[in-house]
Amino acid sequence: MSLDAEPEDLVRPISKPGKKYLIVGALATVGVLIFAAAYGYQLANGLEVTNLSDWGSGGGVTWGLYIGSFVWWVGIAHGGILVSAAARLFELEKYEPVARIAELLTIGALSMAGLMIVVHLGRPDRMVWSTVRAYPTTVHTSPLAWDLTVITLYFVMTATYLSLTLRSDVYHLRDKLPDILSPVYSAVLFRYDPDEDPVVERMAWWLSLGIIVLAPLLLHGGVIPWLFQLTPSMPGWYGGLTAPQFLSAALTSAMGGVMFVAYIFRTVYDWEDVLPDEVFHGLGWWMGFFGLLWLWFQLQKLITGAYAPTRDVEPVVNTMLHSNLYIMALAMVALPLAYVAFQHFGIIEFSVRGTVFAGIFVILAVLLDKTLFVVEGLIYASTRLYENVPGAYVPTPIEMASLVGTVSMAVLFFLLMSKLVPIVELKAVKEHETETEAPGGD
Amino acid sequence: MYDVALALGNAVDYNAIQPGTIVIFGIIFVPLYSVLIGWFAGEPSDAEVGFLGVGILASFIASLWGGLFVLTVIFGLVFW
Repeated sequence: MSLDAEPEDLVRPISKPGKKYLIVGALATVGVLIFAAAYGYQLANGLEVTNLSDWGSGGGVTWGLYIGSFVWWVGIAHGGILVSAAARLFELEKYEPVARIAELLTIGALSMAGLMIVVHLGRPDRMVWSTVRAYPTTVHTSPLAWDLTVITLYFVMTATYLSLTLRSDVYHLRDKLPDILSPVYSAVLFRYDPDEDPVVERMAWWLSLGIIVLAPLLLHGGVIPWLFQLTPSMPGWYGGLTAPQFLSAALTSAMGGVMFVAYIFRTVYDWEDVLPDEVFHGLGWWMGFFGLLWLWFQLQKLITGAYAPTRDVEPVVNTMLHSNLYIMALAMVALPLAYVAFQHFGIIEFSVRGTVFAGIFVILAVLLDKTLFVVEGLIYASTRLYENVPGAYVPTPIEMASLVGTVSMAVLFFLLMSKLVPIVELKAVKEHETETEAPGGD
Repeated sequence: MYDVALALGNAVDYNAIQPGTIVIFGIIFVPLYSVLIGWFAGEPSDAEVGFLGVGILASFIASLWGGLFVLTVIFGLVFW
C-alpha cells in the first residue's frame, strides 16, 4: 500500500512523549499498583481469599475469572500475530501498517495470559521447578503440560519474528532513534549486515508460515481448548465443537484488539496517514466475519443441547439460555456484526471510531463468554461428588484487581515499546526507503 | 485409531513413547520443524543468519523460563 507518510512519521512516538502519554502511563501505573496490592494480599493469605481453592465444602468453582481471562488473553494474542503473518504471507499490503502493532499485541497479551496462570497458582514459588522436573512424565498425558509447551513455542516464535523484522528497520532509522537507547539498538543489530535483508525477509516468511498454521489450528483451535474439551465429566466443555468456538472467539476479539491499539496510536500521534481508514474498515470486516462464525458455533451448541439433551448436558444449556450475561455476550457480538455489515454494504456511513467501539464490545463479550464457559463447565459437572455442596461464583475484588492489573501492564508494555522501536514497519512506507539513504548502523 | 484413543485416556506405561508425546513432538511441533528446515534449506538462505535465528529462539526460551524461575524463587523467599 502506498502510504503518504514519511519514515520520519514512524519515529514520532519515540521522540514525542506528550501529555496524553504521561496521563495514560500514570493511570496504567495505578492499575498495576492495585494489582500488586491485591496479589500481595493473596500471596500472604493464600488462594482461599478468592474462594477458588476449595471445590468441596466451600462449593462454587475452582476456576473462574483468572482462567477466563487467561483464555481471553491467549485468544487476543493468537489472533494478533495472524494479522501480521497473513500480511506477510499473502502479501496483504493493506494490513502492513498494523503488522507490528499486532506482533506487539501478541507478545504483550501472551505475557499477560501467562501471568494469569501464575496468579492462579496456590504455590507459584513451586511452578517452574515442579513443571520442569515432572515434564518427562506429564508431557505424555497432561493437556496442562502440552499447554505450557506450546505457549512457550508460540511466544518464542513470535518474539523471534519480531526481533528479525526489527533489524532492518532499526538500521535504516538509526539516526532518527534516540542515542540514549544505543545499547538496545546495538543488541537488536547484533552482527547485522544489510546484505542479510533478503535472507531475513525469507526467514520471517517461513516464521509466518509456521505461525499461521500453529496459532489457529494447533493452539487456539488445539491445545488451549483441549484443556477443556477433553474432559468428559464437564459436559459444558466436552466435545469437538469447543475448538472452533475458541478459535472464532479468539480471532474476532483479536481484530478488535488490534483496531483498538491502532486507533489509540492514530489518535495520539495524528497518524491518519500512517494508519488510514481502510485498515480499520478491513479489520472491522474480518472482526464481523469471525464474530458471525462464533455466533454460528453458539447456535450449534444451543440447538444440540436444547433439542434432546442428555441429563448431563441439559442443565448447562438451560443455564446458558436463561443467563442474562450469556444473552448479553451474544448481543455484544451480534450488534457489532450488524454494525460493520451495514457499514460495508453502504447502508450507514463508515466510521473509524464507531468500528473501534464495536471492537471494544466484541472484546468484552469474549471475556464474558469465556468466564461463563469456564464457570458453567465446572458448576454443572457430571460427577455428583459435590452435589450436596452447591455454590455460586462471583468474582472477588482480588480477581478483578488482577484483570485490571494485566490490562494496565499491557498498556504500559505498549507505552514502553512505542518509545523503543518503530511500531509501524518501515516497509509500509517503502517507496520512501529508496529515497532515504541508509545511515549505517552500530 | 481406537488403540490410540484408548492409550491417550489410559496411558500408564511411562517407559514407552506415549501418544501425548507424539501429539506434541510429532504434530504440534511440525510448524517449528518447517521453519528450521526453511531457514537452512530454503531459498534464499544463509547458515550464519540461520544460526542467528536459532540463537534468538534459544535465548528467548532461556530468558522466558529463566525469568520465571527467578520470579518464583523471589516469591518463595518473600512469602514462604
